[in-house]
Amino acid sequence: MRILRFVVRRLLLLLPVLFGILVLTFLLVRVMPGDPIASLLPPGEVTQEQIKAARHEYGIDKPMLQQFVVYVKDMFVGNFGRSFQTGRPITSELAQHLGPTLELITISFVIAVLFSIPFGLLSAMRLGKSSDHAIRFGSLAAGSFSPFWLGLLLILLFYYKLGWAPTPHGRYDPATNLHTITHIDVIDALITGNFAAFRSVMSHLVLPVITLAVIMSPGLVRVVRSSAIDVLRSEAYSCAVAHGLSSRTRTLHYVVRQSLISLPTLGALIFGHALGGVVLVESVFSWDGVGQWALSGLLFRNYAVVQMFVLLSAFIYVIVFLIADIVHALLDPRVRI
Amino acid sequence: MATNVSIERITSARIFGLRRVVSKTGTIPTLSIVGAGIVVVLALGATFAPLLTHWNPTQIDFNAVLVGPGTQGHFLGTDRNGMDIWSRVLFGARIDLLIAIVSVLAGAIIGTVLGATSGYVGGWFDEVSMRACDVVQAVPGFILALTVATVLGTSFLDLVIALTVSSAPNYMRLMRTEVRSAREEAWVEAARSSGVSAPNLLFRQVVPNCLGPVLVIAPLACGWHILALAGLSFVGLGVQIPQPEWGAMIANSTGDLASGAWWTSVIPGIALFIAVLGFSLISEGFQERRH
Repeated sequence: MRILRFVVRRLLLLLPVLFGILVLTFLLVRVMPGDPIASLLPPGEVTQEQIKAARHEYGIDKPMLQQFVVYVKDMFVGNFGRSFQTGRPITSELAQHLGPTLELITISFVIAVLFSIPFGLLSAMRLGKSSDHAIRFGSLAAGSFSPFWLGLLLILLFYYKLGWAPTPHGRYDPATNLHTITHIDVIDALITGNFAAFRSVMSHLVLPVITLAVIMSPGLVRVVRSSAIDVLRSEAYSCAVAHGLSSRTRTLHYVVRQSLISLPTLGALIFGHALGGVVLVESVFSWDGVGQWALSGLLFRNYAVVQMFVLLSAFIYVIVFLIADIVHALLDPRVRI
Repeated sequence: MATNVSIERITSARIFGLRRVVSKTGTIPTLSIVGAGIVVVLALGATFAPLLTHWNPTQIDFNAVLVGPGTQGHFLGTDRNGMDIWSRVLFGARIDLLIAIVSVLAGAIIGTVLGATSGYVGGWFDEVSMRACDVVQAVPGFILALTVATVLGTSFLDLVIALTVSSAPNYMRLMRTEVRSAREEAWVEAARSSGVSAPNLLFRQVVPNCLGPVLVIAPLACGWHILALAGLSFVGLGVQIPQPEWGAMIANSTGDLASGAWWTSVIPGIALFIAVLGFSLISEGFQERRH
């Protein structure tokens, strides 16, 4: 019951933020230089009237405030406008691109978390020893990679030199005839029982997932390590040692459990940052996801696409934080008050 | 009498605050020295770039297009345009370091002033500025920088603004928290009651005492800004070729991997990596002191 009230209160607090994000994205996109319509229509062949008609059709000839009201109204009925480039509704384009990106980020995130927890704990428990230094330096180095350069290095090594990885273009081999249903390739391959496609999807995922996971890990290792150090130095822990609890019990019930309390919040932060990093990773691996879609939208001044992209990443970020807060509240009863 | 005591405490607290940044024992951590060493070497390389190479970074050597390191007078080879990579890496350091440092300084200064005011004044100003932070921070930093850079353009100033806008809220929040807790301390109360004016108290006494976390984060942020700038350039929304910039150099040479020319993308990446590592080491040393 308490947790429910907590969630509702957090949701209500989110509303003004979401509205602010709406205003921000709307304004950001409207001040973009260049006329998107003029740059899309071929020169010479169109008349002024056609341009006017096109501007009217996309609703960008109205005053700003009116555009904003229309924008918000449309949003409530699920109409996010149409792409200037393709003329297709934004929502259907998004549906097509969102799956692959979420797939990439989520798998990378899970792997990063699974690797970071043991390393962070180990580093804390061996504080000041050589394994601690190695882990700290390793995570510093991992944090110094730019996602696109790391991706290129992996391609160079595993595709060009060793020949282990599949062609670093796209998400699967088109020859496997993967039938799209959800646009999340792994799921699509599994529910259609297409195992050739499943293998292809998985092998294409390896390098981009490693890239993203390496980028995400340092922050996670750091937070696990520093909270584990705090636990190890706490009086409660000393007390547990003094009472003669076995080192197994101490590690599992004291160190692990308490160190993980701060993980959800930082995890959310890192997941959010990965939304930026994924743009670069997708670009390197020609991964046809939201990042690639947004980049072409940015380069072509495609209002609706850019708007949707900024809105979406903010929305995902906010939701991920909400989930993190709820998990945090579940793990740590002190927060629920 | 009371006034004397409080002012004395303020002054000592102020010095302590700045010294606390260095460390509790008065020494600078080894890691930070190593990191600073790396950054200084890079900065020297950038400053004296014309003395370290006789190639101009945008000069085209038609006789040596895409040649490997150490051939035809090109220490690190040339790219597909016949431009010398060693020269471009050196001159690239100028752009990368300069934009990163300027944008971090701008973000930190704006964030500190607004955050400190917000934390000290409280009330509606605090409320409004924090909600604004919520909104800006809800958009992941790199994505905000991408969008702002698209809106503004790709000049030096545009890119500095893009990076500043997306980082200032971090400092704002950090500073606000620090100032809010410092505001409750006895020496601030003492100074206030002894008639020190609010702006004077805030910016000359309280802020210097609260700068610690911002100063610790700032070098790390320089690393992030270098990464973000390289990322912007990589996707074509940052520094434009033929200007020498590490990210743009890598972007321009991804196609060379297929023909076996690894040096055009690997070498600028190494420079990028070392620069970010150097800045991170500076922060890491100070952060580790807390344990």
